[in-house]
Order: sequence, then C-alpha cells, then structure tokens
Amino acid sequence: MISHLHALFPSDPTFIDRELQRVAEEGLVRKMVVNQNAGDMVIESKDYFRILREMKHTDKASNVEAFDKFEDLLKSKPAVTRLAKEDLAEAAITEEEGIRDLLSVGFLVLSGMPGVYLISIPNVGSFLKLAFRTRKWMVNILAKTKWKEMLEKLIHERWDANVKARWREFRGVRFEWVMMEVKGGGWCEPFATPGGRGWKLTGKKE
Amino acid sequence: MYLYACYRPIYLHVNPGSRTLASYALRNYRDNTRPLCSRTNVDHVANRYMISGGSDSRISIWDLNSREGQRHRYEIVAAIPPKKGHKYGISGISWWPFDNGMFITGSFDETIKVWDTEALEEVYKFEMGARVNAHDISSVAEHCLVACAADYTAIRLIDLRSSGAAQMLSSHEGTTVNSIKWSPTDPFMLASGGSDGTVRLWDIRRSDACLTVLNLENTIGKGVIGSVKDSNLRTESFSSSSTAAFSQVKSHRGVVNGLVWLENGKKLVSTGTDEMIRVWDLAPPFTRDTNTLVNFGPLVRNRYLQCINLVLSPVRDCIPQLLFFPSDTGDILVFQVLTGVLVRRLAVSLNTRKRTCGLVCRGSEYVELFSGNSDGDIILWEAEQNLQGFGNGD
Repeated sequence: MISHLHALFPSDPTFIDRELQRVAEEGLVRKMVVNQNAGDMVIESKDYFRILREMKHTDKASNVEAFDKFEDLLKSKPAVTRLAKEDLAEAAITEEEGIRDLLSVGFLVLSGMPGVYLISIPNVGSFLKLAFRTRKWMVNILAKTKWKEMLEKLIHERWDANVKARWREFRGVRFEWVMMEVKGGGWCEPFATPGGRGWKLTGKKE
Repeated sequence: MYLYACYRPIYLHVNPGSRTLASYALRNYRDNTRPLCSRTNVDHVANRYMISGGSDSRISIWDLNSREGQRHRYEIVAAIPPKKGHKYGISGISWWPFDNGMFITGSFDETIKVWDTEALEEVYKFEMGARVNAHDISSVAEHCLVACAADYTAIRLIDLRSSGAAQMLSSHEGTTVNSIKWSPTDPFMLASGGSDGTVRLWDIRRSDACLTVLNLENTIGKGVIGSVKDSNLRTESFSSSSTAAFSQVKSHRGVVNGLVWLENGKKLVSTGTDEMIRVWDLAPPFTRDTNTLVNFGPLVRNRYLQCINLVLSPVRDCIPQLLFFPSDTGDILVFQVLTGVLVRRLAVSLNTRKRTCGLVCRGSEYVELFSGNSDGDIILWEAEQNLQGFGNGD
C-alpha cells in the first residue's frame, strides 16, 4: 500500500507521489485504487503481468484472448487506474466475452458508477481486509488509553499475544508492517519518550 | 528574509462578555477574522483594523495598533452585539477591499449584509434563500460583485452597485458550494469548491461561465487520461454530451471546503474533507490545469464542512512561502506551499483540542497571524526572529 511507502520516506511525501506518478507512466509500476477509503495500492508491473498470465489458464477464464487484449490495453495506458466500457470496447473486449471473465477472475472490479471498472488484482479483498483489520486493531488499542498513546514495547507485546489468539486473521503479518501502515496513512504518529518510542493517535477517523 | 524559528502564541483577551457566553455552553463559537490587508500602498488605512464575527452573531472591530507594550490587549473599536446583526452565526466577514468604510458579512441566517463602518448599520441586505457558507469580493476588480457560496448548487453574484443579483453560475453538481475565491490577478476569474468534490474555475464574462473543473488525475508529466476524456483544455465548452464523463471528474474525494490563490494568480491551493491539500498549476488557456502532486503529509485533519480559511504568508515576507492550515485537531500546521514540507505545528497546548475556525494574517512585509478558535479566543501568533541560526532562509 502506498502508506507503507510514505512511512519509509517520512520527510518527503511529495517526492513519493511524484516519483510514483513518473514510474507508473514509464510502465514500471501499476497503481490500483480499488477502494478510496482504503488507500492506493502499488505493485511492480512485472509481477502484475506475471499474475495475469498465470491466471489466464485457470478454469474461470474461458476466453484467453481477452486476457491478452487486456494486457495490451494496460500496457498502452500505463498510468491509468480505471477503465470505462468504451475503452475496453476499443480494445475489443466486450461485455459478454472479456469483461465477465476479467471480473470473475478479479482483474477488474465494479465501481459505484455504471460502465466504469477499476483495475485490480485477484484476491485484493483479502489483502485490503488484512490491512484494515490490523490497522483497526492498533487504533482501537490506542483509543482505549486515556491520552490515546502507548509505548511501542507495550503495543508489540499485545500484538504478539493477539497473533497467537487470532492467527487465522493475522497470520504472516509482522508488527513492523502494521506500524508502517498506520504511520504512512496518518492514523498514528510516533514520538520519542525516555522509555522508547511511543505511538499516539492523530484523530483520523475511518 | 528570515525563517521563522518559532511562533509564540499570545492570547488576546477577547470580548469581556465571552466568559459568560462560554458558561452557557456556546458551542462552536466561531471567529472569522479578516483585517484590512491592503496590498496597495494606501498606508493610512492599511493593516490596522481587524473585524471578527462569531457564531453567536457578534461582530467586533479591533484596532490592531492599540496594543500597549506588555499588556497585549487590543481595543475593540466597535461592536455589534449578538442577535442584533444577524440571527445566526456568521460564516464569513470581509472588508470592502478599497477602504474600510464598509464591510460585508455572510451568515447562516441566509443573508448577506453590507454594513457601514462608521454608523455600524446595515446598508444592504440580500436574502439568499440558503445558508451562506462563504463569500468573497474581488480586490482587483472594478465590478463590485460579491460571489456567494451557499447551500445551493449555483453560485450567485451580487452586484453592490445596483444592489441586486447579477448572475448565477451553475455547474456544480452537488448540493452545496462550500468555498469561493476571486482570482488576485484576473478581475473576472473565480474559483469555487463544492460538495461534489470539484474545484471549478469560472470566467464571468463568458456565457457558459465554467471554464474548467480541476481534475486530480491530471498530473504533471504526460498526464493520466483513462476513462475520463481529457477535456480540461481551458476553452473547451462544457457541453452536456460530455457531462457523463465529467460527473466523474473530481478535484478532491470529499467536499472542497477551502481555497486560496497564490498571489501571482497562477496557482491555487485547495483542501477538502478527504484530508488532502492540493496545489494546482493553472496554466494559460489551451493547456491543462495540473495537479502538482504536492503531498502535505498525513497530519492534515479536515472533516468538518465549514469553510476553512487557508492563509498564505505574504510573498515578500518568507521564502519559501508558507501555508497556514487550521487542522481539526486544534493545531495550526505550517507548510511550505510548494513542497508540502511541514515546517511547524502551532498549538497552544498539546492536549486541548479546540478547533481553529478563523485564520488571517496581517501585514504585507511581515506576518502576524491571528487565529480564532472554537472557544471564542483570538490568538495572535508572532514569529520570533532568530538572529543567529537560520540566516536568510532557503
């Protein structure tokens, strides 16, 4: 998620936005905005197209050419995050054949607006849910305290306890990932205390 | 030119009656302050009087030159008590741009009133039929048009010379228009932000006045086109056939509730309830207005629909130019406008969360910042000049 990138380079968020735009236009990276509240996602193009090619040959895809046309369309519009029916039609991907397949496999997602589809990747829902739940967990922990802040050590201990208890949901997620998401997205901010780093809520609402 | 080392808050003791008002729970006492900042060299009327309006509909005029040394107490020169002027809170207040003989107030009681300062009486009253969120009057124009942003999809222009409604600019699609600002260089250009998430630029001379909608996907570089046809070219008209595509164009993913132009009229800063501040490069005609992708970081908090006063430090004062942003958490965030870097956070104390509702700066050579907060206090922020360290700024 882009929030992780922002957490890695906290001093210059403008640089990240502009670099991402530049790199997306050059075709090295694919931006995806599936849910505006959840935030933007970014994936390296080579990985994206690799997944596209792998998924081409699954059972759900009855129309392999549609996937090829989709790949060409995406490569011709490297910085785009959503497509309208007209653009898909230009690439000869029609409703019956291509779009339905792409939707069911997960490379296109319905948006609120009719005739507009969002570019996505399969199983994006579980990824976003993971990001949302871990972030919500951390925000809730801090919200229960009086001053909405807590030492990182304590949060880490609670995280470890949580991972054991709710391992189905949180498996594989490292605490650092959650911290970066929460900092880069602006939900919490770190500060220094004599006892180590502490985290505090910024007041950002869902 | 010096970089600010820090800002010191100085409390102004506001209206002596405010304590009693606070005691019967006046929520959101909102102070909108706007001094007469004359950018021309009309010194004898410049930079002296500040006018503030509150959500209890009280209006006060302060004499900023009346500060006495230690005591930090400005004198209220004139005041209109609550309920006498407007029935409900005041959403915006501005001096007549050419002298301080008149001032204009817009209020949630659906009216805009023009007042005579000497007599403290209302001279004109305009019934807008909808709560007025913001209004603005151009300081470079010869037309005396007050542009009014209300809980209504069209922007109404009121002509003060003929004391009647002049024009109606319709194009916004949402239910309200939340912020509005005239261009500081072009007397006929206007920018407005609404609940449909768009910032629109208007040229009032044209018959279909809306010039363009700022599209957040038009970024520097080759630009993103995607499904929205790239019709942000300035002179292309807003024909209804393209409205299907246009309804998807957004400047912010939320209500646009704050706007400010850079003094050269070439850039516009907007903020919305998606908690983003965006800086737009407004290109000359026939090219695209672009989102310069300046990111102001994750600390921006903006969730309320009320119009936010964004204030820029005067051009001659600080290099790089600073943007003062009143965040919902009660801090005032100070950013460098063109890079988005956070320079300072101005907070009276770390744990109180009184929202700053009005912000204005005084001075064309140096900055004194006045912020009004939801408790009814007006706070003066002064820069401490750091004589050793920062030198001549960046």
